[in-house]
Amino acid sequence: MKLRLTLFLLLIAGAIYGQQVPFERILNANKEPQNWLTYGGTLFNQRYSLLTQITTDNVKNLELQWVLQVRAMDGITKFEATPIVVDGIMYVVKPPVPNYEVVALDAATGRIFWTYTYNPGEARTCCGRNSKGVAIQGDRLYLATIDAHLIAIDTKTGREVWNNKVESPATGTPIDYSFTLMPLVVKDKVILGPAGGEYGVRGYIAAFDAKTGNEKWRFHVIPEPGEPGHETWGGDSWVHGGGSIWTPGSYDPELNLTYWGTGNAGPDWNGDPRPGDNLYTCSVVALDADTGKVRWHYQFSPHDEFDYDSTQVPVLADIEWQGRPRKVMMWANRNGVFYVLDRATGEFLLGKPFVKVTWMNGFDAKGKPIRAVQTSSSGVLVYPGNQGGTNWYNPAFNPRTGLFYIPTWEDTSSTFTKREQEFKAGTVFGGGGPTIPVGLTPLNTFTRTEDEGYYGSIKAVDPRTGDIKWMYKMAQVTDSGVLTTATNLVFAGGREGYFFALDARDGKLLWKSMLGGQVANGPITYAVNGTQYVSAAAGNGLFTFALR
Amino acid sequence: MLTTILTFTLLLAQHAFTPDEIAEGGRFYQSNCASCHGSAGDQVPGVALMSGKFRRASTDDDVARIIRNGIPGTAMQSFTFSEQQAGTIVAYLRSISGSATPPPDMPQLGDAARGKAIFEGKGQCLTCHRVGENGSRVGPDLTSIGAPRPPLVFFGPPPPAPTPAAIVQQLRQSLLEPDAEVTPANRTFRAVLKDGSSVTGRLLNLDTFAVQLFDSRERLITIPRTDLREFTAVKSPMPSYRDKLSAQEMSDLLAYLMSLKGQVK
Repeated sequence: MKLRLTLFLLLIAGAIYGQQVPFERILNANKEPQNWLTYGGTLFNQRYSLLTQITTDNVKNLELQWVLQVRAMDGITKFEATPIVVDGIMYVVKPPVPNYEVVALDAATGRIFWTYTYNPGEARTCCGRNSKGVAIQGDRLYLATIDAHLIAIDTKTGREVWNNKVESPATGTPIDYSFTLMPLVVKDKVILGPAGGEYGVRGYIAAFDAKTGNEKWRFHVIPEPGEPGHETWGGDSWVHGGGSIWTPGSYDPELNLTYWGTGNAGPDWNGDPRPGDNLYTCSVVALDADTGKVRWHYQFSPHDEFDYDSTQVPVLADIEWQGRPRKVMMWANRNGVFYVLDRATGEFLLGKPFVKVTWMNGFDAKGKPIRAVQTSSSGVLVYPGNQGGTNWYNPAFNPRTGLFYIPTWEDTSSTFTKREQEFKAGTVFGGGGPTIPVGLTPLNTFTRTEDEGYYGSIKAVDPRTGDIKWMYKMAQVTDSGVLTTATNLVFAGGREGYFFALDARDGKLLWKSMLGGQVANGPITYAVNGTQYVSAAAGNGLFTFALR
Repeated sequence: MLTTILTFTLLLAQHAFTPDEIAEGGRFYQSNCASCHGSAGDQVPGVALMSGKFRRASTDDDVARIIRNGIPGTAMQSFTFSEQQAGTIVAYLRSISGSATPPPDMPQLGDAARGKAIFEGKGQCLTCHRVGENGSRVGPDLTSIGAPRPPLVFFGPPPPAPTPAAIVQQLRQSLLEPDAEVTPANRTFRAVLKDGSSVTGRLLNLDTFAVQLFDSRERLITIPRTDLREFTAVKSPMPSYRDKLSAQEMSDLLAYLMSLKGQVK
């Protein structure tokens, strides 16, 4: 009762002071499915919607309502942003080519209310000038930029409230640290971390006061001397150890833990100069949301030499596990293995490949993978390839079907070749390289058949067993996220340019639309005035559909 | 290749770039420029970026400036590279064109003019191939077949671009054994439809729902997968010239093909 009263008063306070989205609304986002308040819909990042207007029966009647165009992009930047929708207003950021444009628009018509523009300074990004979206809390949006600024923007006017340069570690050069993620808001803090794993950065996760932008805590992904985990780095290799952050974390309010996936160790493809497991790269870390202290960690790919970033979104759920309820975390990793962990303790519960995997051969008693191949200067063929069995593209979990949906790259391999390389600030610190038969840059046409390897799919995995329940096969690979709904729908897309709906129970194709460019964000759904909408970005546009 | 790059690097008086920097320039190029210019720099008509010659620039700084500022009134947009980054792209382009200097292992080739006559006459190459505005579109366009084509690379050091000697070797192999190595974009497929009809052509595009072919009558054709009974790669329609040309004729023809670098008027 006391909790309810407190919540009521907080909501009232929010209304009085014009706070559009007090944290309590984000905390209870599943109670207002007409809105999309975080990267994955809620703080559990399931990308699961309780909206029921669009069903398996009528999804074939979806038709285009409006399109948001962005400036024509360069060859590698993609429209990766997940929009936020609050009470009929959509907030979305266009990729900085060359400027960021954060827009507030009418989510029913696509008409723009205001635009905030920011021209980032010099930035070095490995894989495009990407942004995964803006976060919201109170009456502010939070934009993390490729020149390592955190910017607060007024939700009502688009006015810049503050714009702070975030301090980078004194390794590499400052422009090596870029923010491409949507920040995560937890209580009164905005949490983020930098990309830059190919440039010898030293990753971190940092929390900032949502009101002032002042830094409140910082967790070093690469521990310095005296910190636990530092012993997993030989010599001075920790200084350029990598461990970048590309995607937002999740949050469990009962445990007060925030969970984050971390990127590859540096140099990427030669582990010789960094003997040891190289904590906390290629890991998930559970941090106290108030202090940033690490409570537990699990390393998916110890001493990684295959660029298997664990920069996926942690998906949280309370499911029945071996006959009793358990608070778990589900994770389809770039290394090709699907994991279930106990999110209170970090205990390893299950690990099972969801694509062809040759880099490891099972787990030891503690759940540590047993490495099966060694790299060499003459090259070694490894499955999955450098781009992984999946990547940063968000998966989805549907509590109704009990299935976990993964966008996958099937039957991929790379030949990894290592070489000695001195660190030089401002250049790629790779230590070799992989072959990448299918590039990072999406192509408009494809001449490889799926019989020749390298095709895409959406896979449904039963988290209780790791078994694959169904697979929807695409001719080409995909960088699309997945959305699922309470009406047994799965929405996704791919590089071919199709945006489609599947039956969440058996993977049957129910509807598709050719959008003319690759789908590279996570689709969302929301409702305005009783109409349910579905939005996906493809190529240079954000496309929004509703039933006709 | 490394030796070539190092030698070339030393020759660059105004800007010296290390192999790693040149490799990064290659990655910048392939991820930002190749979508318009092509991986070999020859997709924009009249522009051959890897020939070492630039129409609107005479110095490396000029080229870097164009990369950063674009060319107003043309499709060449500006890019947000730093001066250093733009410099690495220029160094990469120079490193490729630098490798066009005939190395010692380059075989002695015949006469290109005689080779052109064979190409257009006895060899009947224009029946399937095109050079500039002449010939058929059915086979691969050979307008820039003699230019080095660096492999697509996104991370790490790029594999060596093929040397002229290697290109000659590849061309010779294609003439003698046309099926030995066919790039994915040039493969011929046969589609047998459920009604028993069939279409054979070059595979232009393939997705989950359809295949798209360019057939021998120069038609652009889409076939829904639901209409397909079979879809298989078939032998290249290109004949072998093993017993059709003398050694001298082969040498002349190779000389002509090696002269085709995307600058045909």
